[in-house]
Amino acid sequence: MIQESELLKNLPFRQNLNHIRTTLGMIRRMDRGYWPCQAVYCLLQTGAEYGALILSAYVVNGLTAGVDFGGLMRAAVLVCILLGVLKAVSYALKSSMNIRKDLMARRYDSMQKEKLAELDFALLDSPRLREMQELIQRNNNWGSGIYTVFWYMEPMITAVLRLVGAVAAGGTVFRYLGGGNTLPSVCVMLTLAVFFLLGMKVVQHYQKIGLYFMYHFPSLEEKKRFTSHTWAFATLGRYQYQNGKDVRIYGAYDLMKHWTHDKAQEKEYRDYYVKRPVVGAVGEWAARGAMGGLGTAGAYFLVAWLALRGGIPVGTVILFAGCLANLLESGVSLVLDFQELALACRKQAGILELLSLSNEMYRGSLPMEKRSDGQYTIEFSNVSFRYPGSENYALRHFSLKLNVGEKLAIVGRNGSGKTTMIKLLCRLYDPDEGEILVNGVDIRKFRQEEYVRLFSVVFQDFQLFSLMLAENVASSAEFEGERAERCLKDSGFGDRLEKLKEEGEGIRSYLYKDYTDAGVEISGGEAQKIAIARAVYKEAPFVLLDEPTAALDPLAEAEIYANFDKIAGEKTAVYISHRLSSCRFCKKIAVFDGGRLVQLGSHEELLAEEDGIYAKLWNAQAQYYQTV
Amino acid sequence: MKAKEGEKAVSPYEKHYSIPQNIAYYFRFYRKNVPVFLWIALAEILVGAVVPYIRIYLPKFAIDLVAAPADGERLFWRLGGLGLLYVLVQALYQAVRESKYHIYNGRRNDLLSALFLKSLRVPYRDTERGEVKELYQKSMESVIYGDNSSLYRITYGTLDVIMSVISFVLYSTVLSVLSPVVTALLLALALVQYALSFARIRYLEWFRVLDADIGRRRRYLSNSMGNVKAAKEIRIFGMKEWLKSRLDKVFAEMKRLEKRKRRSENVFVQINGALTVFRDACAYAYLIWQVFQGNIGAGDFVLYFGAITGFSGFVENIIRNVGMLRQGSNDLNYYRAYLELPEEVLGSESLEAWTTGKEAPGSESLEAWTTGKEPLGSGYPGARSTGKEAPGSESLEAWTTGRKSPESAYSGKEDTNGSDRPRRHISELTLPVEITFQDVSFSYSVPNAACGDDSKDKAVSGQIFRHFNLTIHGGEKVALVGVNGAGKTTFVKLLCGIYEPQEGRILLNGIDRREFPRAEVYRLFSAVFQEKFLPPFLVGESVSLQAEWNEERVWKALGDAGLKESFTERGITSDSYYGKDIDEAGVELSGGQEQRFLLARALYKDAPILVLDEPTAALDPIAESEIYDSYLKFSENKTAVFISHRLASTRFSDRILLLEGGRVLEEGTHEELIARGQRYAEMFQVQSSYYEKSAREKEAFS
Repeated sequence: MIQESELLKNLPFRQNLNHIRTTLGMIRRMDRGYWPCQAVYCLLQTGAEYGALILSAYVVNGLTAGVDFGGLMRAAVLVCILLGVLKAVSYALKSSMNIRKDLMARRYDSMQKEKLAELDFALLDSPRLREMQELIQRNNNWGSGIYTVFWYMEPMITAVLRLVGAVAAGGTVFRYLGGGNTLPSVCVMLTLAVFFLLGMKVVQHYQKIGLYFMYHFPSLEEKKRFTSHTWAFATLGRYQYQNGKDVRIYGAYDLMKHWTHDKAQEKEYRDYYVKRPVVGAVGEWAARGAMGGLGTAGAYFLVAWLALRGGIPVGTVILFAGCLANLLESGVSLVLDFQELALACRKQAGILELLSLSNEMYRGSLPMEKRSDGQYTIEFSNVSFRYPGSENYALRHFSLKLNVGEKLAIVGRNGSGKTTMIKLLCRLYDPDEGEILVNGVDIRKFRQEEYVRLFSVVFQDFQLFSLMLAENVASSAEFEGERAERCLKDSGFGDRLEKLKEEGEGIRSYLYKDYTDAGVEISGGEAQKIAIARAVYKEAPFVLLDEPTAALDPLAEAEIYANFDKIAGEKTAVYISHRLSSCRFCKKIAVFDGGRLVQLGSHEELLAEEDGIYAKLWNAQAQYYQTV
Repeated sequence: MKAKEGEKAVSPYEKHYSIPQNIAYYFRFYRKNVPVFLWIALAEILVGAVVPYIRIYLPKFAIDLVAAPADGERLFWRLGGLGLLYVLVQALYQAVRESKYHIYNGRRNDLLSALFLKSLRVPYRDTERGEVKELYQKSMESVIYGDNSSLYRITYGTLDVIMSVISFVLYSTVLSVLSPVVTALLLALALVQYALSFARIRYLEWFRVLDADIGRRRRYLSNSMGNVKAAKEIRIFGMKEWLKSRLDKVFAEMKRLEKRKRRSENVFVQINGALTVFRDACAYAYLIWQVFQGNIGAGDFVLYFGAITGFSGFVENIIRNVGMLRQGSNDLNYYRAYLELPEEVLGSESLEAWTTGKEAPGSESLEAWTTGKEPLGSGYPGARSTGKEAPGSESLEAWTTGRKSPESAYSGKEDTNGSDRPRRHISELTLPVEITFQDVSFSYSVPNAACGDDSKDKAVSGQIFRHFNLTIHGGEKVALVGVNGAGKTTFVKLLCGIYEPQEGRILLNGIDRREFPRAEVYRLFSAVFQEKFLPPFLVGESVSLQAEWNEERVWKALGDAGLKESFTERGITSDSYYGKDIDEAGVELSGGQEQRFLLARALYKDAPILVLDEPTAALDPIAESEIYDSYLKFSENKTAVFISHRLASTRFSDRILLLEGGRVLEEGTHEELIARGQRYAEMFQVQSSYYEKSAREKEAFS
């Protein structure tokens, strides 16, 4: 992975070229026709430019040499029309390129997100990937991402074509330069060359300074001094409007102002973020401007000087000067824009790495036995697991067997490994030690996509999408309307569903307003019911419920409990809840503590172990409900 | 839209400042914050207008020199001099342009912080309104998207238009020497091209709504696919196909739209191109004819031809930048509308008092607090080191508040509601504080007091409280229960002064709350809300929510909240950073510890009234029980209001209020309500049935 600081190193030309090649290749894969289009466009533009130059040279020569009026006129009008056609074609090309470019830039963004959806969950949730994404974001903070590549490619291609054009159309100027009295020619050429090279040095020097401050990776000390949270807060990334209650009640306005405004006003902050990069960038552009001016003015000066020494017709002065100016300008552009292009491409490296990332989890090929009777057994055998980057075991030497049709409740304190067990069971992670067996076979051996079909899950932090209600329930663009409605009713969403029907759209209503303004807002409790309906709709043989009632009031919660049998049916079910009352639905209760299974048994059995954690947990809640 | 309809009350959510007004707005902004920018802008205009002018003289001078070698020396130096000037001017032009970029770009931060801070000064109720949220979003977008920001568009648009107009005039003067008629014709052609291009811009503007809509859908779907929070479900429910099929449809739609847009745009472009070809051909013909007539020489031929062909470039430029100005101005109007929203009036001391961040009453002496004799320190953190205001903060204040008169008129009306300005101080109140709701009505559908339009927040529409009466006695512990949507959270907001009732009064020890400055009312409450506010500040700042904190009290609060030990173990100090935003080694807490951290904040403030809005939903039973014990211990001598779905918490309270439909349906102690055997008893029964059964079993066991 490319670190930010490495962006600043002067990479060898070959390596730069490699980055450029990979990036351009990626763009080609997205749209095969784009680069040919771009090349033809540049060719037409350059052709039109030289055409106009040659025409004006021809006309001026004709005027001074006394060619007949009619002939000159005809030639001029003809060439004008020809150039007009060239331009019309190039406009049309440009228009098509713009469409392709915009679509590609969006496709490019979407591709990254799609890739994330394809990765193994364990990889997605790993520190490595978070780092990668952070870097991608930082690398694209300045500039315009993939658009920057397009921006610099066009002048690069054009510069090459202009160079070719300059040599083809104005190459004879060198014969003049070399001819006649050689000494002054050589002097003039040398002087220009020295100016030019010095100028390039200056430009590159400032370019480096500018880039350094723009892309330099701040140290911790610098971060502490120069972090203002303006963006994080104001763009609502790190702040929600609901936090405004705390800001008001606790009188935190001043503190907020300090972090979002005052810090950014301090002189050293401004020096750091504004002044220093500006010195480099302004230096670069001043030098660039001077170089450009020198190229143009110098070309006219040199050619006029040559012409004075005889042999060059007046009109040709324009042609030669134009070609010479192009030669110099294109040279400058090639050198400088190459740096920028290489940098723009290097900044894509993180994204390209993400796109080429492959999943590391072992993927078995064993088909999942499809059993209509749902006869599956699950066994955790001596499983240990640590989250990537963490030192502590989330589960340790964990063994548990779950039989067909069994209802298992899991209780335990926060962080005791309950949710981790669910994640391992769904194979979002693989255990570090031990194995998980389904019908006696290690789950790693099954085809992943078939294996996960076994599970209906309601996660603690469940998510719904701002798409159609029925789509959310079916988790698919295609849905069976009646079945979706039935599931919604079973999960207690029936009343709201009736209202939605009265409002017109029913199960075709969009949820929330993120996707469309026509969406309907739903409360947290309603969302939870939809999440439960989604699990019911799937009709998988295993039902895993991780705190499915946390956001519900007591009555709604009771309603869910009452429907629990309907939801779980004959299926095997695992139920996690902090409200121990729910455990009573389950014959078997597993108590977790510190990543281990410490107690297993029926409610009565567990309660009988008076020193056990279960009794403690139970009493912490039950004390309030028991008549003293 | 609405405002255009005519004489109706203008919505405060829309502003219709003209382009010149908006240009003036941003240039005032520059003048206040970076006066040097005005000089840079001036330099750019002068130099930028001159560059193309010099450029067309270069070939003329070169040809003149070649064509008239007799006058060689003079013309030679003339060309050399012009060349040198050209080099200088180009260097200056590029330097100035680059400086402009960095100055404008560096200052977007100020606009953003002004917007954000404004959102903290408007009444909280307004920040919840759909229109205000949308306006915030639009205002934010008009600032954050770099070269699509309103600041960019207006800064660049203005300067480029001025430059192009000057260049246009300069070229016209060059040409008018040749022939006024030709100049007039060219001007006419320029006007036609202007009209055409303008039509194109208007046409493209028509697509903006469609573009925005489709872009939003694409972003939503893409981000959903990459959303780590949804990743588990995406995999287990196989949702990728669903999202992808949706996304593919959006892309297909986007492609069609783009094609439609570009196809029509291309028509304009091609017509314009044809006109340019026509003009160039005519120019050649005319100029050749002039040379044959002997009116002009070869050098002039080149000069005039350059001037004629340069014309369309300027026209194009003007058009493009006028389009940019239109859009920038439109976006800036959102921003200005937000900044001009009425602000919360915090009382007699008003904003100043509030923002000086006077510390909350100290634990050391409730007496001292009631006598109100605390030192009034400047809360600005820089004060610690520099002892003065941060540079520029003063100008920001003035800048963001803008014209003061209309808003203060608004908010004055809203807040005082007929009564005079606040004239009492909370130091007059004796502790513990008694709170009385007297005939209070509150409805979410009542529009913003300052404007005449309806709130469209359907999810929260309807009247919540209607002639609601309630007294919470000093030192009383009250539990609030009820089903989702019964109005509990609304009640808490009314209680804390975050909402103001539309009818009726809320009394503190029998005195109308509005007689106290609102900032002081806020100081009466230690509140923990459902949404955790854990900002990435220093630990000391996060606990106190003040720029300056009392070290001892921070540790006492952390200690009482049960965090001191683990913090000390982990080497966390009050100067450590909360969260990993700045420091990789920053403090991260588990869910239970976060709740304790919020408890520490309430303890630190140690205000006379404690309010808890269901803070323990995600905790395990033991942690929940511990947290409740802590709150209880700490709420001694204080008035306290708890909300919880878990009826367990109600057992701690002196009185239970069962809210339903904005009314107190039942009230009394737990025993009383159980005895009554109605709604509360039913809810309790539902929850406790399992526990009770076990209790009986337990008895049987023993």
